Amino acid sequence: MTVKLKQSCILISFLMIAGCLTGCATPIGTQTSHTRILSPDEADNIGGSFLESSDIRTIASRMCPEILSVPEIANAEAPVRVAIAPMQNSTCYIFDKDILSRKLRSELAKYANGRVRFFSQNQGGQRMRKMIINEQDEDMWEKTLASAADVLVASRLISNAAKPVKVRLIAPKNVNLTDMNADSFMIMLRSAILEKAGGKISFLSSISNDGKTDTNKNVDYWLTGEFFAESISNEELQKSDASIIGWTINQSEHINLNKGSLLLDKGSSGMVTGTTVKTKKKPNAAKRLSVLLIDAKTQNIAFSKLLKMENKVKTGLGRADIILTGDVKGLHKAAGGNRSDYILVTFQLVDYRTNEILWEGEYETKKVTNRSAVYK
Amino acid sequence: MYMKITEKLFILLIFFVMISGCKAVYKTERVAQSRLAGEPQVGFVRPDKYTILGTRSVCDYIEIVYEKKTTNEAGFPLVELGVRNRGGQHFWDLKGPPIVLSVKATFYNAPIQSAGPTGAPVYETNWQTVRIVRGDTAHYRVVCPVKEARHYQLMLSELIK
Repeated sequence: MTVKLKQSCILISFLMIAGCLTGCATPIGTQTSHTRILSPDEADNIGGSFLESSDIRTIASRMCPEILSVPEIANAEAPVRVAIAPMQNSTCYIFDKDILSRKLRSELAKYANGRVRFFSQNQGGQRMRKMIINEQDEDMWEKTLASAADVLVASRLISNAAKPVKVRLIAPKNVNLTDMNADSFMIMLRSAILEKAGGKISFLSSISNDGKTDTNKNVDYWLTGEFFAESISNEELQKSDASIIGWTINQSEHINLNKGSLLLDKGSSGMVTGTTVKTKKKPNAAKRLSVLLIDAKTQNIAFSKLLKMENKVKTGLGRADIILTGDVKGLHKAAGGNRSDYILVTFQLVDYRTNEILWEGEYETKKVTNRSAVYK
Repeated sequence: MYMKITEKLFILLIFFVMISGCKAVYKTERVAQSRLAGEPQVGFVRPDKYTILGTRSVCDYIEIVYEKKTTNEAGFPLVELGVRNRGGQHFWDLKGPPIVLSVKATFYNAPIQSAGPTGAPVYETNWQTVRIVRGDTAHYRVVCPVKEARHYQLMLSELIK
């Protein structure tokens, strides 16, 4: 019994030593998990004959130095600004084609050393930019109106007046805008003028004590304005007839059309012509206020000052020097369970002024598989 | 009595092994500079089959036709490598297969021939797939977008999968 116990102890000891030793030497197992971690250059053994992650990396790796070697970029004294046009996909596969240009852009940004600049073209970034710029504009409103008041008070019209000038505020005109509260700006302007005029200007109320007296006869000047958007298109709401229906809705509403319906959010405005619908909640255009002082007797404009109240949020693409664009084309063949794909990816650098292709790079691959895969 | 001492020794041994196994931080051995310096500029890695009698590698079937480093018209380092699939060279395999290689280029500022790589590369490509049918020569060409890169190393491997 004792001998057996000793033998068992020795055996267990050996096993433990062996276990410890093998435990020290074995690397961390990666096969026990349900998921394998691969390098992006490794094949995944799933099948499919379209572009793989290694192809995308190879395209970027090959084309980045070629683009940086183009004379228009390599010899440029200032950074070259590149606008990226969406890729065109003519293959039978549906995939996020912009992954190709995104990887290339990332590679270029990494190695261009400041010689190439790109524009942020994602929607989230643009929305945030718009919010920042609009808030900065709002912060400038008081200063802008105060400077306009300074100019008005300092004008010869006011400074040379023998007695205080009687002014009445009238509602400004919205030239080609909807949903813009121009009245608020005029009230802010009136306050700023009163503050700076030092008694040289007096504003008359538009409300008479008895409600019947014509208060306009004592007015020297009308203070008004025109609020407009710097835009070729007409930003204003079109009022209706039978074929053109304009609306401003106060709650979410379905607008029934001949072919289907459209859900509009609260505050939307728009125009319906047949089945074409256009809505603009807040048009992205520079908004200006033209402050006018109109002679009450002659109706002549005695003073005018143009103020910029809101800037247009520009994408910056107007400063681009070169367009980077590209396309993915394919030749597909299938028989039985087998499938073959020849894929040609090309990128071009285009001079936007002349439409000349400055450089073109290509990458081609052909794969055959007996196991098709779905690409997303 | 003798067995009892053996048992004690075993227990002590187990104790020390387990203690040594509880270390959280280990010193990793540094590769010898001489070994790195001995690495070729164009190297072939990953034999695809290991046997008791030796390894089988596609380097049996390929040969380097040319290898040169110049600069392109923009002044970037340009490395060109010609690799030929010479087919089977053994009596048991005179034909040889089409070969798919993974090729990677790495560029360094510091020299790698004398002392081995002394720092991280300034640029490296991904593993790029090159297929060479029998008798054909593949012309692998890589431009490094970092002008300061002076030295390079090309690694060829069987297709990474």
